[in-house]
Amino acid sequence: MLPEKRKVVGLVLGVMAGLLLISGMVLAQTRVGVILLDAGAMFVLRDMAPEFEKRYPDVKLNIELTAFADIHTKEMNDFIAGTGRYDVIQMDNPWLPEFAGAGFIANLEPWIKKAGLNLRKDYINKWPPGVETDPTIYLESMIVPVLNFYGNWGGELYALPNMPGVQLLYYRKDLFENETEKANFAAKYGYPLEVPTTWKQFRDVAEFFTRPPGLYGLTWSAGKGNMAVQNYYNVAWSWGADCLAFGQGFPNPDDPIQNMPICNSPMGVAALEYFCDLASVMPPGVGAYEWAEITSDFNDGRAAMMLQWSDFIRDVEDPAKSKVAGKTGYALLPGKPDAPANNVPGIIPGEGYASLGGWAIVMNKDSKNKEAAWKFMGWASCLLMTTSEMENYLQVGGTNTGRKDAYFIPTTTGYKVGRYPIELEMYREHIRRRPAIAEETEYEMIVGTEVQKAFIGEKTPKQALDDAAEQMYQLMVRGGYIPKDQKLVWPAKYVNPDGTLR
Amino acid sequence: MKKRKVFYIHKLTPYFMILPAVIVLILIAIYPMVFSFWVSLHRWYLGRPHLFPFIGLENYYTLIFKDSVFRRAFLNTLVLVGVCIPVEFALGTMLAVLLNRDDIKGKKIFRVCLIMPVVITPVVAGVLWKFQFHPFYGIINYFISLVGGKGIQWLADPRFALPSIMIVDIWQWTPFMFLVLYAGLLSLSKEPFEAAKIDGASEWQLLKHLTIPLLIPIIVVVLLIRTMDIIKVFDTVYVLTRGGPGDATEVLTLYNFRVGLNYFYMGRAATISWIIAIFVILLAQLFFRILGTEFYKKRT
Repeated sequence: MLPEKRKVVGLVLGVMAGLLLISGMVLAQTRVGVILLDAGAMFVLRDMAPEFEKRYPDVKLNIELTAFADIHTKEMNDFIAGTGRYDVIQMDNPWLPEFAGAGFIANLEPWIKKAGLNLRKDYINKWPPGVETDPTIYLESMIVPVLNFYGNWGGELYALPNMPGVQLLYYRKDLFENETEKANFAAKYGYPLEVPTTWKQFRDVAEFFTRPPGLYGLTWSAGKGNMAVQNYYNVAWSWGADCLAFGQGFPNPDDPIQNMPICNSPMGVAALEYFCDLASVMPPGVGAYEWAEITSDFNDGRAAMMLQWSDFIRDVEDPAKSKVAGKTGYALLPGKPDAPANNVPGIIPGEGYASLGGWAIVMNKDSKNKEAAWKFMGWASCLLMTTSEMENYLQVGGTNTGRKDAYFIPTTTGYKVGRYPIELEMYREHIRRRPAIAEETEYEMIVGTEVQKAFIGEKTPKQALDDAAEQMYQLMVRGGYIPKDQKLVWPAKYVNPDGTLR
Repeated sequence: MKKRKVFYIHKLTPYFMILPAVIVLILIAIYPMVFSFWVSLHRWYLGRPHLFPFIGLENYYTLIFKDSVFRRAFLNTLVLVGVCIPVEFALGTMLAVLLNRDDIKGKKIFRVCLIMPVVITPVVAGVLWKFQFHPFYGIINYFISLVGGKGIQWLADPRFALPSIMIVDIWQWTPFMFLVLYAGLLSLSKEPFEAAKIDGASEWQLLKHLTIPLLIPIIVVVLLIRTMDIIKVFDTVYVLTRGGPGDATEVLTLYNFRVGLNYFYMGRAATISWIIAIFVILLAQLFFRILGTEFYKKRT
């Protein structure tokens, strides 16, 4: 054979061998199907996929971002079909009872142990007192309430928080620190203008700054379903009201009376009256606002205060999107010091409480790549990230997870604008959750629709909550938490007629 | 014997020929319909998919007699049909007759402008109108303020929310009515009209005694299509109000979506689908009875 021919043959053989090697490598990689919410923070996670694949060369990610309206349906379809198309699934935190209760997702404890992390269930300082499940799950690097609210189902760990969220009080520092405003406020209300710590002060401040159409005291929402129910309970919990007699725990399988609705308690009605009254200090139309519209008002300088999820700070502090960037302060939600002392378990009169929102990741029980799926879960929850990797993730716009030390990295924007310290305090002491039932989505629609009806004046607060209680009773019967032959009664065994606990 | 075999094969050939189509029809239409009816007779919650108890007509009974949201959704859907279809038809007919006149100039520009709303995806139309209805940034309240009026909370006030949905639907689908009726007008023979004009018929007489009777087959079809469409309206309502405020804009398909794909009560969702189907069939029959009589008489 001529040397040239030999060269050509050698080259062809070399290319073929190379292709074979690459194909072998690709085939040797495990493909992990991931479904994530179509949200800014998750774009960042997707964009960091190459770094993950560099760290774990045997894993190839196949990330699918899906809109909120479709994600639950897609996930349920995959669970029902049992295909295991998605190995790692991101879920809104109230879906845990639905997913874990039906056996759709895998227990993560074996993986935690395999990773050498010390998971304990003998944690003594329960989170927040009175609302813990038994046992409380403890992982040294994680915020205990967040980990348990997101992942604890029946005392076992099923989910890891990867995009938690909680509402904060956003306020305009430029208005609150203005000397003329301070003097005028003190003259009108007889006490100094400060960031409100009680709902009474909050109402006064909001009223003071309401100067339509240019400025309103507050922007918030009573939009149908999710918006109305979460915002209303952020008020109602301070009043000592809750939706179901079992409060923040789980339905009682032994006594259906504890699963009865109590949303129409006098405390609940009083809280709803207050919530509806806030309409007078808010821009017109908030009765139908979505989350983004609340932020639009605030960013446009149209409101002195806003109650909003923590992850909207990204938009508020972006000068390209916001007129109030750099002028905004963050605080805890107000409380009600004169609330009855013995009301909802764990409520301390005077403290503010907010609904825990945000998303967690779970492992599909039908996943065929559990080992690789776990590696991604460790990454996406920051649990197995190094501190420098996490810092980098937060710097480029990633979101904080349930990992404690992430809230103390001083170089990150969240820390600089004062978001992280407030957010961490909310997570540690001030979060509440929606009922831990599989039918949580329906609960939001039932109570959220009735709250909205009261807010827009279609019903009185009492009528709206009575109707909500009737519908919640039917839901609890449908869900099997209350037997069919058990009539709707006030759970006097557990809750006093005024709503206080026995 | 051989002759007999050939005879049978020959006789059965047509059946073999249509067999693939029949199989496809069974798989994609008949089986799902029968299955969905079967599901409607059961309590089936996908959160506990293994439980599938037979409950007879309980789902139908509960929805019709005990579910106030369903009843409101049904009523709202009826109101949408009752308001939007006549308005769209009246406007569509007026536009079609107007543009069919020979003395109108710039017809092409009008036609293009009128077609535009139809080609917009309903979701996009919903988003666009959500901005128009915004209390601060919307153009509608801006114009109201120019004449000294007070802004309206279009989507947050139960008195205006359903009319807002109607406005969007009429804006988007009147052009469809216009297009079909205009095409029908263009296809009509000119001779009867010329003869009637020679006999001294007025414009109104032409419209009443010639144009509309001749267009009846087209009118029946376009009304039927639009009625079925509006009963299925989902995207616009979902984007604009999500059925709110309260239950003010709850419609059948949105409620069905929520029950089936948000709450995963498949039995109840299948029942709603069947109620919608029966409702559409009855309405279609009604149309044919009222409007189609003349058409059928002519045909027969």
